[in-house]
This record gives sequence, structure tokens and C-alpha cells, in this order.
Amino acid sequence: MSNRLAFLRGQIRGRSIRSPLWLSLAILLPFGLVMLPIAYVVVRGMEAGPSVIVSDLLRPYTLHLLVNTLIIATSVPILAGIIAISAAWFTERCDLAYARFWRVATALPLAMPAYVSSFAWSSLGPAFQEMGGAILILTFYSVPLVYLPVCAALRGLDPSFEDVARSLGQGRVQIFRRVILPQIRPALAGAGLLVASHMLAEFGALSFLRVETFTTAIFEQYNAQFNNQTAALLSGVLMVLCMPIAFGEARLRRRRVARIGRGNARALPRLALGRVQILAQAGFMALTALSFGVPLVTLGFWLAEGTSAGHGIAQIGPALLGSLGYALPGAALTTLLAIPLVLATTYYRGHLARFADRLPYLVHGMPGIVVALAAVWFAIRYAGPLYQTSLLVLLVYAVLTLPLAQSSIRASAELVPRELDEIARSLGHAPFRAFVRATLPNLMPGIAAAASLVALQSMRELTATLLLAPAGTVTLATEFWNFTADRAYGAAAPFAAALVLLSGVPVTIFTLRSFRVDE
Amino acid sequence: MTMRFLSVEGIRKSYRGHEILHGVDLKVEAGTILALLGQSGCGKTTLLRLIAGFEPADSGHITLDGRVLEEPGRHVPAERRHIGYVPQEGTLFPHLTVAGNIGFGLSSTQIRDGRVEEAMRLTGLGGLGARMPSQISGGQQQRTALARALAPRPSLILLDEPFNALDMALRRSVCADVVALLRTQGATAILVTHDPQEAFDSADLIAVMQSGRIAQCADPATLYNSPADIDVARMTGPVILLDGTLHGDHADTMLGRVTVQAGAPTSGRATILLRREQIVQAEPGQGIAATIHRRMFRGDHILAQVQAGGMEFETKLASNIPTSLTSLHISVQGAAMAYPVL
Repeated sequence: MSNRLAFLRGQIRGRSIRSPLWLSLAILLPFGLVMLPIAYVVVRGMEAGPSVIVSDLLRPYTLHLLVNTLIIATSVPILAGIIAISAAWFTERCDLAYARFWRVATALPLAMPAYVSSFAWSSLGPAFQEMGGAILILTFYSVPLVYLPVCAALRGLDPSFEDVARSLGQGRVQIFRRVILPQIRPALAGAGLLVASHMLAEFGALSFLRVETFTTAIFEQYNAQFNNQTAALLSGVLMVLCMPIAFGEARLRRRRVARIGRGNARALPRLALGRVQILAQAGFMALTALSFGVPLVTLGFWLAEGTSAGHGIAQIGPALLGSLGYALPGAALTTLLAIPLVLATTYYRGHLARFADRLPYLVHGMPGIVVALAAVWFAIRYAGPLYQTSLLVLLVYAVLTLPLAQSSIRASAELVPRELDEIARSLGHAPFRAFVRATLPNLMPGIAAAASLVALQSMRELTATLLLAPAGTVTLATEFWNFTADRAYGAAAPFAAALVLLSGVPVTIFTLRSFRVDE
Repeated sequence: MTMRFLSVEGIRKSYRGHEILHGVDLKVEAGTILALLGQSGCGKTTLLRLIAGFEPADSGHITLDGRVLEEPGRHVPAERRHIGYVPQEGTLFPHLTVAGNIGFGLSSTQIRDGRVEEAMRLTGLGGLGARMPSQISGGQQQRTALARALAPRPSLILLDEPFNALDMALRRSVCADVVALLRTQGATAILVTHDPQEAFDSADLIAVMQSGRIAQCADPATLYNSPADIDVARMTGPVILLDGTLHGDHADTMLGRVTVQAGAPTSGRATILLRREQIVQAEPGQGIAATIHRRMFRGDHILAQVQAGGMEFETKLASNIPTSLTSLHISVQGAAMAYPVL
């Protein structure tokens, strides 16, 4: 590791400089927002009293939910990780033909919400339902979430490490196992944890596939009885399950080593595939067909052939506007809230800041419905005018998607030395102005990535929107959901297609851009 | 100790149709430390990478200790060459401890035999084995990289500008430590550098590389005093160039009569090359008149900007000449190099 990096890390982590006042105040709002669902779960859970807690949680049913939840949350990240790392190896380190095309094709399932692909697969027949189908479908859905960061990590490797290992007598397989894998492990594990937390919170897809987990059970409970204590208790269990994920992510991040300074201009060597080329091409074709092709063709079938096709098509314009109308302001608000959280932990030290930075990851694995109910609970009791407003929906989006924004912005922030801010201060700028003039412009790539990820995620958000949006609100996601609930698949298909198309644009641009950076 | 002998013959290498190495020849005796000196872009790192075996050469031969590593149709890959490599900035594996890094190229038997501890003791890293690379200083990182390369007891060690990342003061002392260690081990080593002082300090032999060729390979004194051409002379230190006319063993120049080294042409016009320290203050009544325009006190000498014989140049003068002195007489001591004007 370069000297300069050690120096920089010393600058960033070594000195304990207190954060400026504006920053300390700015983290209070996201902190309060994220505390809300936690407070709600704890307060409602406690109200139940010890005997109810014991009798509710110590049931065979709870064990059944726990087993299902754990199976999904462990098998999907592992399988997606194996597929993603193989795909990334072929596109980044081998002379794969049409590599550019396959990169985009492998990332494209990001544009397909899990509940849309589950709907498509499950409408093919019962063979694709239940646990086996769920693992298969959710694995294909999750591959891009692991593939993209692993690609970035593979491309960021310094080829000197491989040179050194070769000069010490290590062959290709040993180098992969002893040099490359350990270096991409933080990216791999970080992405795996993200997938695991998505799996804990997944509702729509598992509901289509008839797999019962804590999240679907919570939803059932709320459907049966609004503001339900059992549901609050189940949410509490889910929150406990999220804890190792949230703190595991933080541990990994501490070990992550960014390379600063004189980057090595030399390109990473690529392995000649020879006869394996044709096999690799077939593999990518199969992957793309399964993860994107089948759902897309099924959607097309329902679009053309469904008995209810054409029904409700007049709503597509308003639904499109409705989706954008929530997703774009939601992205702006979430990004704005995430910036101070990242700054306070990247550049300064403090226990509260560190806690505030971790908290959103804890809540990220909670289903939208819990956060939405916490918002209703709070609004009715303490902030009446907020209830039934779009602002409340946006605040819930922010709570649900903060970690996505934090991770993107942090990736940029770790590359911006704090000296920039200090130089601006020495040139006579007050702290906030120094941040705006010196640090903020350098964070823009991360901020742009954060905003597009949050917009993408908000657009497909289902449960909180269903519960909270003011009467008369239509979005692509809610219309799709309402039509499928009535088994009107033909009518639902156009909304899903619009959602996929709308998401496909930023996904494609995002993927192409992220790969162009180092080419 | 086994006889180690590296021979590089007619090595060529092109990247994207652009030839970087135009037939390089190099011989290194066992136990020699050779510095490969050249400006950036001259091909010295490429040559090092070909010797290491990271990439195949386009043509040419490389043999080490009687074993053919490279010839047309044959390329022994890096992992089977048994050549140690210390890259720029050390490049320690960030996920392994100091001991983990040093033991990376050893078998588990060798690790059990205490080879890691031995390498750490040799490099003065005792007690740091459990530290991560980020927890040790730049100098210690560099020594860890060296220990890692030495631990498998390679027949040859390649060091690619290994001290670049260190600051100046540290650089000299780490370089001295490394060279002392290589010498006690009797190691054969090639050190790539662009710093002539580093090359003089560390090497038995210096090969000066210029645009893909070895321009001269000689011991430091020969290289400094009898450079093969003006570019090599410039690469190894400041020069003063004069126009002159050769007459047997001397040349007439604007600074008067200068003795030329044996082996130079004996007639015709030539460029006469002097080192700064060859200009000295002359006895009263001798030499030619000179004016000091600017002076910089350097402790053991004064670096003076001097005008004499219609030209201006820098020279080193004794540090005890009075500050008020602005005009003096100078003369040339020792023999100069002469290069015919083509």
C-alpha cells in the first residue's frame, strides 16, 4: 500500500476532530426519521406485555417463518454471488467476445422489479412457485446487485499484486484464490449482505410465489388487523435479524482499502479463453434468458393475449406521472439527508455520528409496511397535518432507501481528502461555505449515482405507497399490484412493462458509465 | 554459492506496433548489483518485466545460471523463473499481515522451518510480524517487500524503483539498508532507477538506458569520468560543454588548452566535456579571467555561476573564497572527454 495512502488514512481516521456545528445539526433529521420505525416497533411490542410476547413468538409458526426467512436470506446471496463472480471474471478478466454487450445484459435485470419477474414466472405455472422457485427467481433478480460491485473491484485491482505473486512462484488458480479473491472479498461480502437485507424485506415477490417469511406474515397480520401487536413483535424479530447484516457491513467497510495516488496505468492482463469462449457465450445467453428474457417474454404474452388486456390502459399516463412525481423528489430528499451522515463519519469522529450512520442499514431490512405504519402512528399522534400528504410518503422513501444513497456517496467521499476542506478554510471560507465550494463538487459523481439508485428503488416501492399515498394517487407499481390482485394479468402487464422500460434507461446508462470510467 | 549469471541478448519488445526495446544486450555476473539507469519512458521497466517473465519478449534470448528462460518459441513464465521482484511502492498484500506477506511464496514446510522469522530478522522487522501493512511505516513496508522477495532465496532479485514512494531523507537510508542487506546475502540484483545518485550509491555496475537501448554499461567511476556519449554524461551528472580543436593529446578551447583523455581522436573539431568540479581557481597570473555572477553556498563548496571566455556555466568553487570576490582566474584540471563533431 502506498505511503501516501497511509498518510491520508491517518489524516482521515487518526485525528479526532469534532464535526462542525452545521454538520452535527444536519444529521439530527435523518437520525430522527430512522429512529421512528425502531421506536414504533419497541413501543408497540412492549404494549403487548410479556405473556403475549412469549405466547406469540414461541409458536411453531414463528419457527416456520424463521426457517423460511433464513433459507431465502442465505441461499439467494450465496447463489447470486457464485453466478455474479463467474460472470464478472469472464467480462473483466478474460477476452470474452461481445463483453460490452454482456455487461449491460447482465446488469439489466436491475430494471425488473422482483415482484414483476416473480409475477411473470409464477404465471407460467405452479412449478415456479414455492421455495424452489423463489430461490431460483430471486437469485436471478439479485445477480446484478453483486455483479456490478464485483466488476468494479476486479477492475480496481493493481496488477502489481499478481506480478509479485507470480514472481513468488504462484500459478493462476493460486493467484485467484490467494490474491484476487481476498481483495474482492469486501465488495463481494458487502453486496451479499445487501442482497440478504433485500431478501429479509422482500414482500411482493414472495407473496406471488406463496413463500411465507416474516415480511409476508407481517403483511398478513396488518391486513387482518390494522396496527397489530403480533405484527410489531414479528417486526422486532426481523430487526434483530438485520443487526448482524448492518454491523457486518460496517466491519467490512473498515477493512476496505481504497487505492489513491499514482494509479497504475498498465491494463490488467486478460486470459485467452480459447475453446471455452463458445461455452462462455452460451452461459451468458442462458443467464440473460433466465433473468431477463423469460420475464420479458411472459409480460409480452400477457400484454398481447391476456383476457383483460387493454383494461385500465387510460391510467397509464397518470400512473407514469405519479411514479415520477414520487421517485424524483424522493431521490432529491434522500440524497440531501444522506450527505451529512456520510460526511460526519468519513471525515470526523463521534459515537453519535457513527450510530446515526449505521441505523439506516438496520432499518433497510425491514419491510416498507413497518416503516409506513410507524409513519402513520407518528403522524396521527404528533404531526396531524402530515397525515395523508405526499411529504409523508417521501419521508418514508427516505428511511427505506438511505443506505443506498449513503453507500454511493461514501464511495466518492473516501476519495476526497479532508485537506480540501481545510485548504478552503485557510483561504477564509466559513465551514459550510468551505464544504460547498471545495468538497461538494468532488462528491458529485457519488451524489448523482445515489440519486439515480434511490429514484429507481422508489419507483418500484409498493407497500408504503399503497398504505400512505393520498387518496386518488396512482403509480405504475400500485396499478400493477391492484390488477394482479384481481388476477387481471393482461391489464397489469402494461404497467409492469412501463416500469421495466422506465427503469431500463437509467440502468443502461448507469452500467455503461460505470464501465467507461476506467476504459 | 552457486554460480549465477544473467545473460540478456538482442531482446526486442513492441507494444501496439511501437517498439520499446530495440535489441537489448546485458550481462550480469553472480553477486553483482547492477543499476539500470534511465529517464522515464526509456524502456527500463519493460526490460525488467521481461527478465521477470511477466510478458514474453518479441525476440532475443535470456538465460539465468545456464538455464534458458527466453528464446524464440520458448517462454518460461514468471512463476517458474525463481526471480524475486520488488515493485514500485512495495505493493504489500493489504489483506495479509507482515508475516503473511513474507511467507506468501514459501511452502508450509519452509514456513515451519522458520524462513519467515529469518527474513524478518535479516530485514530488521522483528516483532512486526502480526502487524497489517497499513500499520507500519513506509520504510518498514519497503523492507517487508524486500523480505518477501528474498524469503524463497531467488537466484536474482529485481527492484523496480522501489524507493520512489519514500521521501528524500528516508529514501537514502532505506536504499543503503537494502543494498547492505543484498551484499551480505551475496545476492545478484538489478535495481531500476532514474536517480544517478542512487545508482552510484548502490551499484557495482551501471547500465544507462536510452530510448530502448543500453547506451553504456560500466562501473560508476568509468561511467562518470568517461561517458560513452554526451547523453550518457548528462544522465550521470551536470556537464560543461566547450567547442574545441584537437591537437594530439590536448584541445584548444575558449577556456584555454585542455588535456583530453587517451583514446579520443587526435585532430579536427570536437565537443569537449568537463565536469563542474574540473574548473578550479587558478594560481595568480595563470588561467583565464572569469567573473562570478551568482553564488550559492553549499557548505563544502560554492556553486557559482561564472562567465569566462565568452560563455557562462556553473562550477564548484572552494567554500573559503571571500564573499567580496567577484573576479578571479580559473583553469581546468584533469583530462576531459572529447567527442568528434559530426
